[in-house]
Amino acid sequence: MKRVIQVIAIYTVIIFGLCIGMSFLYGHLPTLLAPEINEYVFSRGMLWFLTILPAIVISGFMVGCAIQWKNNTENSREKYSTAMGQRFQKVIIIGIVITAVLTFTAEIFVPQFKHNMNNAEENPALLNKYLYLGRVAANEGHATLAFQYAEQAYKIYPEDKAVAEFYKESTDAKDIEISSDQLSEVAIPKIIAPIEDANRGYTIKEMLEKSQTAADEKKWFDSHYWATLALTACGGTDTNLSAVQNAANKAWNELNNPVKFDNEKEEKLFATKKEGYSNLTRGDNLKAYYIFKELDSNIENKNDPDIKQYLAISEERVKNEYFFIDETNELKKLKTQRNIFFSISNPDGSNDVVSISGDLVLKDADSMIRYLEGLTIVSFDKYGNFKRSMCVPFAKMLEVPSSIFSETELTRMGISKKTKTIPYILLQSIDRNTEGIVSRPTYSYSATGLPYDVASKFLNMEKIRKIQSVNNDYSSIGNTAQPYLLDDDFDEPNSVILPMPYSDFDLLDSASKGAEVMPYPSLVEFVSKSNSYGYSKEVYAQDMLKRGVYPLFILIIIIFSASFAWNYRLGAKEIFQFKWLFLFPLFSFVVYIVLECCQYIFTLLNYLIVCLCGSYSLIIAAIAYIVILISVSIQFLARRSS
Amino acid sequence: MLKQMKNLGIKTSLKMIVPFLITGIFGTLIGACFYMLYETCTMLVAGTSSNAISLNLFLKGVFISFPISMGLSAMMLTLYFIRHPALPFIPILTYAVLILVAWLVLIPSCTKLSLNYDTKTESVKNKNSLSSNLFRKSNSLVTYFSKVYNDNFANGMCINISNDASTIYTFKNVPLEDNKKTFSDSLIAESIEMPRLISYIMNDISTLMEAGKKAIKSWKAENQLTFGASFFKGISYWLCYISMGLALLSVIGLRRVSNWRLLNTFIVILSTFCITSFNSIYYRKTIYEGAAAIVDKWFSKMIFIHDPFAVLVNIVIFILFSVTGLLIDIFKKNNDLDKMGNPV
Repeated sequence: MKRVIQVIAIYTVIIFGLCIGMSFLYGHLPTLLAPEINEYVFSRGMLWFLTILPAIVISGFMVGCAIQWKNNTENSREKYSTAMGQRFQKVIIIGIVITAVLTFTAEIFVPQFKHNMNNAEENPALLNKYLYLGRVAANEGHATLAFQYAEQAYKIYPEDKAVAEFYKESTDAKDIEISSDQLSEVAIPKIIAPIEDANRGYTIKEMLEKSQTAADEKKWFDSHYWATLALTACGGTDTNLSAVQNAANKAWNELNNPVKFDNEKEEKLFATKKEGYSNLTRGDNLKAYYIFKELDSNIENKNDPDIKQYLAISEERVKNEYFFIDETNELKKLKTQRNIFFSISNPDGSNDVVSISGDLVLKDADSMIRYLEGLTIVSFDKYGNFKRSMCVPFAKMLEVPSSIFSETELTRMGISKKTKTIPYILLQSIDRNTEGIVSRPTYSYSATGLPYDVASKFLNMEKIRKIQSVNNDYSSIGNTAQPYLLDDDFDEPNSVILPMPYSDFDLLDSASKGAEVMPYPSLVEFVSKSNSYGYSKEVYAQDMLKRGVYPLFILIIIIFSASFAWNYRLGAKEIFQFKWLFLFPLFSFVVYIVLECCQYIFTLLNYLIVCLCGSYSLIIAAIAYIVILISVSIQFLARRSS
Repeated sequence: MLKQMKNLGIKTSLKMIVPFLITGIFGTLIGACFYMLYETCTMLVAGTSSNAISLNLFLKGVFISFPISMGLSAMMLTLYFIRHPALPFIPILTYAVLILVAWLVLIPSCTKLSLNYDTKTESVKNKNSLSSNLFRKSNSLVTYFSKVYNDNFANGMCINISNDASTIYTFKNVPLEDNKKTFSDSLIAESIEMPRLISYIMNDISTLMEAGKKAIKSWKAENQLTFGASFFKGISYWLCYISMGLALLSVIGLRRVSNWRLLNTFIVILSTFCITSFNSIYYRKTIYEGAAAIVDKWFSKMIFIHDPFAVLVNIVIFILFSVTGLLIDIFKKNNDLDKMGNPV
């Protein structure tokens, strides 16, 4: 068998060289960034090579076997001879090695090279987009945002002079902004859950005690803060209610009639602190945050404990409703994903379609956070009519435990009790230092309609023209003149809870790219859920089957080709001629055609199994392929010399 | 006696009937099943159930796969003969008779039946409307229909991801394109559409079958007058068409072109592939227009020769391969046989 392996190895190396060489000579390149051209051409050559690799290896194996089995065939005059059994053992060993290599390349390398090529093809447009958006942000004075775009652009093409310059400019602008705001240290406290306050973990009695201690120390802000918290916790029934009310009233009165200040500056500082605090108690956390933030930025107030504490409290509350545009700077970027879309069915029969143009996964100290770019949620009612759409340029997604909701709320939202964590999306973002820079979601209640160039791709334009001429309306296609009748209770929210397990988001990340490039374990997990997220179960199940039984398919082909090689082996009196080596491409070409045909026939069979066997299709297919494998093995063992 | 039969290859000749029948029967049945399955898939819409078994589609499959199986029988028998070498005279005679029966009797009979069946039955293929609540991706456009009405109007949305930033459009009550493509649903097409190479082969086969049907129709049309010149003119359409069969028959001449049987099998397979490709390209009238026009002029007065360019090339191939085979059999020693003509 040594010769077989040698033949396969040499031939494979030659074809590898040819594919790479031809890819470099072929040309026909799409628009690419200069540093990515070589990688793209190499990936293309590799992809060509990997596409024909099964045909090369199998034809090499067949030819090798046909040469190897030229002599010593006298011991195989009968069917099922021991000698044939020994040959079968070797065939199986080589077959398993070839199968492992081919499966590995199909599952790992092919998707990787495809991914590289897709990225290289998309990068020029993406670079232009980042540069354009970055410049717009810089011109509007959003230095941090501009820096983020510049950073993305720099990541794609650091060698480009214009990109490098823009990156440097925006980095400098961002540094200046940060130093001017004296932001030496940005602490991002971890959010445990929305609508939750870190200080609510105390009992009413403890809070009352804290309020009284603060009152004793004449810290009236703290006293009132703890008394108010205790008051909220009492819910109007606790036995401590009157004591809590008294503490709160007393603290508030003290705040309203403060002791005389030594100077005007102190009086002004107190008034500002009180304004901030009042906003906090009224629920205007954002206003309170900016007041305390401004106070904190003044070096003279560096040691004021009230400012520090209420800045932290207001920041924590703000982060339940908003996120900071510059948050991503402090976090470690893990991966980015483009164009994710899925649908969610609601218990009332309506559907929401979620589309995200970019997904950035980041990791802070101990949790994963996703930043969503270009988030759009389109809602349809239970009759399939367009209800509304919501879009926001940036959103932040957090993982929150479903236990914070009551069972009734979970049922209303259509979330299973078994779901541990769910995605909570903050739709509003703010600038950390400048008040007024707020990005909010935009809601629309009329269908946009379709432009002609898009409509012509999937609509019957002839019918459209007829309808337009009858109505004498050529404005747009499929738009709605009247907005959808609003639900009375719909209040445009600034955050969204998606009724799905948070972990499914990772599955949808890869499902959006297509079944063929999904990691196999994810694909298996996704098949049963595919329909509920708007993906065809047939397609994903067929792909799962195709990839799952691919090793068995290759093994069947290898054993079958071994039988073929035995039947047409080199005659005992013949000598292998060197010139025959040059006919190897002929073998590979024919094997390629046969392989393609077999693969297609098996694809159709897979579809039949998927349609007939549903959830058991993988098991049934595996059994069917094993039966075929056993049959071809028996057929091989039955070979004999004439 | 038995030894005598072996020497002359009579046993091989008789055994040759078995692969011929297997190719004909199993090839037809398996082909018909896959045709039925494929056609069912083309009508399938994601998210809906479909009946995989249809007698109509199966019968149509039989009419398609039987001529293909018969057309390939020359190659299959040659491969059998390479594997089971024998003295050539009687086996080749048997081979020629079988292939001639296939091309002169079986294929035309099947084609006639198929034509009758086509006229009696209406198209069994119906296009189903698309299902709602599924994403469909086509190039850079992702569509999602929230509702598809019976009249093929739909509500929904689409995402255009071709731009630098993806754009979303929502729409209401728009007429969907009437499906003119092979598959009712692009989602199904995405996963089971034929690879380019197979699609090319299937197109070749389909072109050849159409040309065959055309020849039979012309034959039948001329046959309205049963006697005289028009009878010969009628059958001449089919005879000219099956010059391809003659070329395919002659691949047996290549069975010992090299001393390595595996190489010979691949040469035979590739030759069959090339002959069918040549003929289909000719009937598609795309490439050899110029050459065909010149040859047509040469034979313009011979009314019994139709498609003279294809006939000429097929006959040249036939002569070339047959003479090659003849010379090899006469002058080249067959190392696979002993002096008595038995395989070693």
